[in-house]
Amino acid sequence: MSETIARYYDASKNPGTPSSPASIPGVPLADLDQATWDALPEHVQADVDAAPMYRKTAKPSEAKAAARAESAAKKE
Amino acid sequence: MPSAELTFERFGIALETTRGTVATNPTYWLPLTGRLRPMHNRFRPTESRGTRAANYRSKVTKQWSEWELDAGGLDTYNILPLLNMAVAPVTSPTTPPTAVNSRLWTFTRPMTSDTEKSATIFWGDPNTQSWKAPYGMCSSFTIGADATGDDAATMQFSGFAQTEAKIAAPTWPTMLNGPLITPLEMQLWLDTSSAIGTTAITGMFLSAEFSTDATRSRKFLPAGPGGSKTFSRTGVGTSSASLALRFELTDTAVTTVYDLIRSATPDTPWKVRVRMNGPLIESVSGTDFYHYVEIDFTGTNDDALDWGDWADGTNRTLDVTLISEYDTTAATDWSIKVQTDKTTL
Repeated sequence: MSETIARYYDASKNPGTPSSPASIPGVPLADLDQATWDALPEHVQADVDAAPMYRKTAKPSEAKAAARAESAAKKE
Repeated sequence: MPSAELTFERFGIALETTRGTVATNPTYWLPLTGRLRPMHNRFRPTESRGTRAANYRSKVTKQWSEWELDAGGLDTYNILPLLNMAVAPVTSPTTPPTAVNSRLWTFTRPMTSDTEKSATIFWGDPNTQSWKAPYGMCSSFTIGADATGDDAATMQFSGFAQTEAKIAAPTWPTMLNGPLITPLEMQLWLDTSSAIGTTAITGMFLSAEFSTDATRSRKFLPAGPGGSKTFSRTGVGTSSASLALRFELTDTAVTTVYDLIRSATPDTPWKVRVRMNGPLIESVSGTDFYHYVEIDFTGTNDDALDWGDWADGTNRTLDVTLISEYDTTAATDWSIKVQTDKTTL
């Protein structure tokens, strides 16, 4: 069973440059699973929610791809 | 209750739309260490009360705060908002000819106006306490690169602000990871009669340090009973900058640098361009564009020169410090350019 993703990372929305992406120190530039999210202090969670490159839901295309992959895994 | 940990301390700024209009949240989270210090003036009247105690009464008459960023890595991203405070408001860059991703930010010190941006200063460990202070002005900064040492190029900024206030932890922006600059990739041009940037100096240039104080004043104005004790406006006076250069004393340094100092025209200002280069941004049609911070400086030396040494004391150096003078061609005494791939402030 896949881990719950609390925040999804969208690299295309990173305000930095391709060679030097912007970041929130202590927060991975990647999807944040629930355990990672829960371990962040409240003020850092607020910083993540204010950042343009993290979202609470997957992009629609990514959500469909994940659903198809899970459906294919169940059939096997 | 948690105690303040230096590890979790943050320093940020938000450039203000008009001076003194306080921002809610920082818009730049700076990677440099720093602090915001509460300041005040306290008056103690000289009194004679027939006792040995000197003081019976006192009064705080003025309040403000001072901020400083310790010398840290110079990078072409985080320096941009700081130069908006220290030199001139520049919100958009130009694109160098043929460049695709490279941008040139030019900060020319205004000669006839006072337009440097103010910023709200944010500081503290969010787990313990955060503070903010409006109307932060930059009063001095230093940019240096020393090829004789082990450090990368550094920058240091400081100034003052209105009285600070405790705040709930604000929302912080993402932090920009700017590329650091190696002193060994520096370039220097030194001219007197030719245009600045004509004559490259190679094989002996070791270090450069640019430093300036803005001569900025705080204006405290009475505001009636219960009025604020902090300043309402700032003023600006004349000021100059210094550029300290160090050369290895080679025979070429004697004919290039020493002979200028003892030439028949020692009052002719030196036109110096120091370019502190960082990593490559892009190569376009055979032209390489690098991250850099470049200082254009016109000036003369107060003291003739100093002799130093380096390389474990095995070599002599020639050290000269220039004080800036107005250049009619540039219409200023010094300016700073930043080439980077950052397209917005």
